[in-house]
Amino acid sequence: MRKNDVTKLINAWQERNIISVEQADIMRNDVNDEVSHRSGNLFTTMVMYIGATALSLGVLLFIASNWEHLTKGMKVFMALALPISLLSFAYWQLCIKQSTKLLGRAMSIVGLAAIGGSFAIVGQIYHIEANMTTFFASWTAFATPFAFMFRRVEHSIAFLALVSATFWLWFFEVFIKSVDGAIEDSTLIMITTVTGFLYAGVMYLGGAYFRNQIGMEEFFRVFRLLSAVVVLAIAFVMTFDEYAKVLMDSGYYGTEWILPAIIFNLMFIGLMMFVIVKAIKHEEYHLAFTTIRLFALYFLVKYFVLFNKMLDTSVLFIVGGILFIAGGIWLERNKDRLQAYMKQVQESSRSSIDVI
Amino acid sequence: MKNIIFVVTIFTFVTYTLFIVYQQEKILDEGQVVILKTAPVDPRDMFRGEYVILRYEIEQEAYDNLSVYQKPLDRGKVYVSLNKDYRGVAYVERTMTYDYDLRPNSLYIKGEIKNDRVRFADLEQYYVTEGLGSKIEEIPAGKLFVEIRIKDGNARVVRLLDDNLEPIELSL
Repeated sequence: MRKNDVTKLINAWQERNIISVEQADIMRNDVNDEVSHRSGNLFTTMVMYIGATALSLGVLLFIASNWEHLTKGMKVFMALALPISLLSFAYWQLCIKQSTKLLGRAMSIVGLAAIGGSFAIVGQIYHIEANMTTFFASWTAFATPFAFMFRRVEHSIAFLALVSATFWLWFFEVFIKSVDGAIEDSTLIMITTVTGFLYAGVMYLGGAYFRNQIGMEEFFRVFRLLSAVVVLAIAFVMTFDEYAKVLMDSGYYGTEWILPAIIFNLMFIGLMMFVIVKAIKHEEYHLAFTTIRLFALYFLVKYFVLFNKMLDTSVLFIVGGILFIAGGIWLERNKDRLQAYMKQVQESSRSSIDVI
Repeated sequence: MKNIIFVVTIFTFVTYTLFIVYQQEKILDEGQVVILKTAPVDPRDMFRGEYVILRYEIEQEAYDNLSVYQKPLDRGKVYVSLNKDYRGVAYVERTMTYDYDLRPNSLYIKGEIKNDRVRFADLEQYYVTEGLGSKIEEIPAGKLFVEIRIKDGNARVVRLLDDNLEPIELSL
């Protein structure tokens, strides 16, 4: 909620004598303090990250612009010194001092990135092209212990990004290319889709298994949230006609793809419902609202894809406009209902805890 | 415990990186010197540095040397046996899809068939100081050579040479 909305609510409560003038003043002051604290935090975060990134880029660019003048030994030393110094500083801040300061967090993320930078510099020194799968696998291997030691949300995201890059590069560069030509396109698509779902499933199971690991709750929460996003993204791709056509190996005039396409669309809608219900149950409201927005995006895309050739352009936009205004109102109403329901769920769980 | 993990990870990272460096240095130290005729194409300017992409005459020669049955093997590994002319510039003697026919200490490079040519991935790029990439590209075709080192089929670029086979000194 924005500061102005909260202030309006406080004014309204004061006018309706729900709260006294003194209470309203205290609330307004607290809101002001909170807003200025948060905006200060955001600004500091940005400054720290920009500073740490600029510092690392500066070192890399220094190496690049003095390529001919620096000895090989000097280049290797700089390639190693950059991540070691950044990660040591981050370790000292986050693990030894147990500091929550942003400087340590910014250095830790740039340090993880610098591990990959080191391998890239060594490749440049010897003019060799790095095999991307090996490059990312090495990067992931050395970044993983640090991500688990630092264990914040940003480290979880960085870890998952690296693991995903390694896995999918291997999948497309090694596995798919090794079977390319030997199997049908439809089988290839099916294998890729199933692998995507399995990948998300493993990510979710990992996040669920270590859900209550002390000090790692936020780290593994990211696993569960990202797995939901991955599943939704794959299911969304599956709703397109082209997907069903390739899967069914349907020619230009073929109709075999229609039934699977309908099933995939229904499956996607069902999946979204499931994610919304699960998100509410686990009080992941941000995920619930993101899925609702995805629902709206899905209808927007489907409307234009389905009716674009069937309707006259003007009618397409007029009907589309009416539908989306109506949809917007429906969403707004349901958002209020959903929020009310979430409050109810929270209160009932609290009262049951009190009874216990 | 965390301190131990931190120290072990840093130590392994340094050891691994230095091992890669050692492997490359071994090829450069012990490898046979070979000169290849090259043509630079399409200099790229990455934020991390600048490099030129190098193409070699032997890429096409090696591909032409394959039989009609071997040519469709896209991404297939090949072993290109080399010989040197009177100037020391290498040319293709034979291209093979197996390595058991190679004589001991024979001069050969590992490559792969890709898009109707034999590709030598580790010889394709040459990193330079920022701003020098376009100067290298200005050198006329047929006037640029590359000194490489080959050990057990693995090749590494050492430096660029002019048409007198003298090292090229480029400055901004």
